[in-house]
Amino acid sequence: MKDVDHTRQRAFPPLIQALPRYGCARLAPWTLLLLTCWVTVTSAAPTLEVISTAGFTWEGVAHRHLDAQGRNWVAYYAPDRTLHLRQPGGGQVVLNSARPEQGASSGLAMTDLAEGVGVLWRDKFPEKGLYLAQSERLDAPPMALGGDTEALARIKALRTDSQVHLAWLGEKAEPQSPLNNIYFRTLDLATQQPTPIQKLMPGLYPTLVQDGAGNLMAFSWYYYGESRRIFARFRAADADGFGEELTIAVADDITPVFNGYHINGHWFLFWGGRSTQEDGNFEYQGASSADQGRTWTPIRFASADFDVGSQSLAWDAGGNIVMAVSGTQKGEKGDRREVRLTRSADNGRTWSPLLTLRPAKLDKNYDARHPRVIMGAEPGQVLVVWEDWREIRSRVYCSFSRDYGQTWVLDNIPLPVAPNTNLHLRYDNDPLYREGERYRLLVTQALDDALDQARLLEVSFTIADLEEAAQQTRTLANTATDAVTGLPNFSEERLRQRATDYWSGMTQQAFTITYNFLDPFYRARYDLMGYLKNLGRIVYKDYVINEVRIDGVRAEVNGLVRASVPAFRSPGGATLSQPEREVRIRDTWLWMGDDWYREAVDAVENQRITRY
Amino acid sequence: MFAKNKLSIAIAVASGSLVLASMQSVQAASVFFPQIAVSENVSTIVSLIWRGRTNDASGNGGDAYSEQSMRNALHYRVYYKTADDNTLPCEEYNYVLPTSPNDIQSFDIGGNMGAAATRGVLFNDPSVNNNWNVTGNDWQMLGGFPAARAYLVVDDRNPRIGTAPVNDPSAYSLAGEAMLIDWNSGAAWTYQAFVQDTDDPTTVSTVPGNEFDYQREKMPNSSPIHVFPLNQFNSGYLVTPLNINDQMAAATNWATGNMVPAMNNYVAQIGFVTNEPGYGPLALYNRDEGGISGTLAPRVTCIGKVRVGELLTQGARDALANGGWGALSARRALVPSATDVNILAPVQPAWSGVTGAVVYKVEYNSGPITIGTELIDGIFNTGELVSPLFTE
Repeated sequence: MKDVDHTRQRAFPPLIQALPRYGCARLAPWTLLLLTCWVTVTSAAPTLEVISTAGFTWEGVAHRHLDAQGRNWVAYYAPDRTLHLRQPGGGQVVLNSARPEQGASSGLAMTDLAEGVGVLWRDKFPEKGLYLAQSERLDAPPMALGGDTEALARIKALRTDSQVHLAWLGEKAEPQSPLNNIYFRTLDLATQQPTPIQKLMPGLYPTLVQDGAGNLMAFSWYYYGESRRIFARFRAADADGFGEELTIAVADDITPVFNGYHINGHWFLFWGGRSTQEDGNFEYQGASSADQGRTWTPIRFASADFDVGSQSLAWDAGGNIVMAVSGTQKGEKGDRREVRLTRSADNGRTWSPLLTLRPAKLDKNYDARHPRVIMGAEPGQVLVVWEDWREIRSRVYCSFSRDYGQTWVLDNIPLPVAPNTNLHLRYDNDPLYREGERYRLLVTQALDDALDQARLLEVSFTIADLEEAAQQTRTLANTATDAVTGLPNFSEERLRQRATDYWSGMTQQAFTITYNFLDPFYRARYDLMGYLKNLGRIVYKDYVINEVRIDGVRAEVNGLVRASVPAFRSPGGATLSQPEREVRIRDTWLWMGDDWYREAVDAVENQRITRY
Repeated sequence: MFAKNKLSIAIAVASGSLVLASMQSVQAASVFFPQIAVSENVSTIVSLIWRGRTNDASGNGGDAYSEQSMRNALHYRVYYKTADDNTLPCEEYNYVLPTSPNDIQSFDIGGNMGAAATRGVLFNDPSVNNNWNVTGNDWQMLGGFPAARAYLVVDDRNPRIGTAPVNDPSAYSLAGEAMLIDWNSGAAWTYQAFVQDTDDPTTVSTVPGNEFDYQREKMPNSSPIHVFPLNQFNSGYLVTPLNINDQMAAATNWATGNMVPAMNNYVAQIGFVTNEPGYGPLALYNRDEGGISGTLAPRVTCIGKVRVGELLTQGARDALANGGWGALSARRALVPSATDVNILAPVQPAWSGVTGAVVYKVEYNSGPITIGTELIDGIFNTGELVSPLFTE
């Protein structure tokens, strides 16, 4: 196992190297001031630390976990498929094979151990299998625990006392058996001896939950044959093995959102199941059991046709549960993701309606994804954070409540960290935790608008930081002014000028100039040469603006232009052309913090490169 | 299997009673263009060939053209929609336009290429034997629409008198190709039209062999296909639902040129139905052999395009950032209610069956992408018929 010296990288790198490539000079002045806060760690302001000193990507996989002492550990895959473990002191080690260029490592799970954490992944070096590395035993090679189960990349792990329990998906082919099964074994931390591998149950989504008293519940969806159902198996702390299968619900089809919990004496499972409608649209559902799984009470959320993509849940000992989900309301034009929240004050017996966390107008136009919920330091306090695209570039937004989400004392506040730089939350990890009054969030930050290379950051903040941010005026709308005219750039007058200038450039075929009018997401993908190469054959003249409608950071500019296609040779050898005619042009312009930019749209498929 | 059935039918007819052999049997053909698209940036050039004859039982070509009023004319039916809504039925245009033996006619069905003076016909086509250039003729059937998606069926309205025909593959009457071209980028996609060059449409038949029966062109259920990474590639499926044979009308409708009922609202469902043999359906598999559930199966009426994201739930999409594979399936979802033909019955056909749709997979990039270590800087835009080389 490689021990990489990250000492030098732990020191904050020069500012110019640390900044992502967003054309720093074009950002409004106050954001530059905020960026300098990255090198100053204080307890009175948000802080930001780069975790991924080995590199990261927009879709990169990362998990974090607190050990038994409450210290935070982070594991992540670098682009070269090395698996890194960041220790609480800031050092990092590589856990997987000495041949990362083979790219065989996949999957990730973490658990606390008696000391430190355990990290699990699937690999084919030194041989194919499931591996466990223990942070306090890095001098020993990782333990191979998967046997011949043909382990896949879905792994769950948890600790009860001095035992670590593992569940994973395997595809070992056996006669008269489904291909996909969930396997289980336990590792005794004291003796370092694992139990024999047990084929626990058929299914796709290994889900393992404990109740804090050593009892375990394993959940699965049986999707075989005619009797597709969700079921569980219970293992008492003092039992040798799991009990019989306990049917929870009939489920013809479910989505990958499949999460189990133990809350105040009740076992819970939530999943995206089908509604009863003939078309089979999905509906978020759940079930609870108070008798160790023998009987299950259905939970239905009034969420017809709401396709849930991710879910997060927090609770307290008083039976207050707050759950946030992101998903898409089917049947509506477009495919916008929303974040919604529901509450229970009676330990999950009844639930409030699943309602959006944002103004309805935002839900129609801008995505919001992957909310995370956490209870605060005082009873009633709930913090919800999510990835929000209302500013065209994604940002983390927050809402804070003192009454378990009934009302919000801080409502839709942007996290005052790294604005206008595309921040991303994953759907499948647990990035948010609290140390006293301070919250810490694992977040991915793209290095530019191509949304490919990125950095993994840990952001820390307090509610006081959010309160202060709530007092500040939203700056993206009205800070920048044109250096020549002195006009505020957000104005309609400025937008009209930009649109006119753009089409003037198109008319004169001054494409090296028109390129710079296009939105930064497009320019991050296409450099100038790429833009010039892919220009079409249409020739324009006499552009006129008919109407301008500004709606927040988006605007629609409707105009008329005369267009023609001079004769050209088609791929088939024919000579084609199109005579001049009047064409209506509908452009979308985006306010990106410093000026208006025309949103690039693929005319054939009506596809844009922006991601909001 | 299809050919064998046809052959057996033909042999049965040929070896049947002399009464049969001497009957006037209507020998006709049709050609089916499943995907037509027009917009301000896109045109479709349709090229249509008519041989004008079929072989007789002895393999001799040509025969007497005794019904001039029925000759040298092709019946065009274009079923189109102008709204981007997969659930709407199509409108229909119905034309009889001239042709001539061994003629080819290429035309811009969208009327975009400045060929108004030539009625949409392209490439200096002289109007001699095929006297197409007369008032009232127009091949710009979708001209004037800002955008439209359509399919086109052309039949030759050609009753043949004489010896009962055999199914001679070399004696095709109609054939065609279509090229969809994007003006702005120059990207183009071409496909060959399907041909149904068979037998008697005077009989409502429950077996393949009807002139407008294109069942054999449907996508096999299910067809394993690759799915590119969802955020880097645009992938979609061009879907044209097909009818099943026993819903075709009697030949009198065809003979008079009226629209065959219900050709504008065939409905198909399309979705990923990836079965582990002997077990249940999943949506897809990711690249790590991990099965992912949560498929959606939207309906397409008459014609439409379904983006790959529309076939996946949000959870499945998040789990498929790097793409994967799935088995695409299409089934005919048109079993009308017993009490109201305008609504569907509660029970619909199973995914395995003889119904379905013609499906093309289209893939293109939305910007420069890096595949492995190579930067792909231009535009690629491909289309392929989903038709793996296996039989059901």
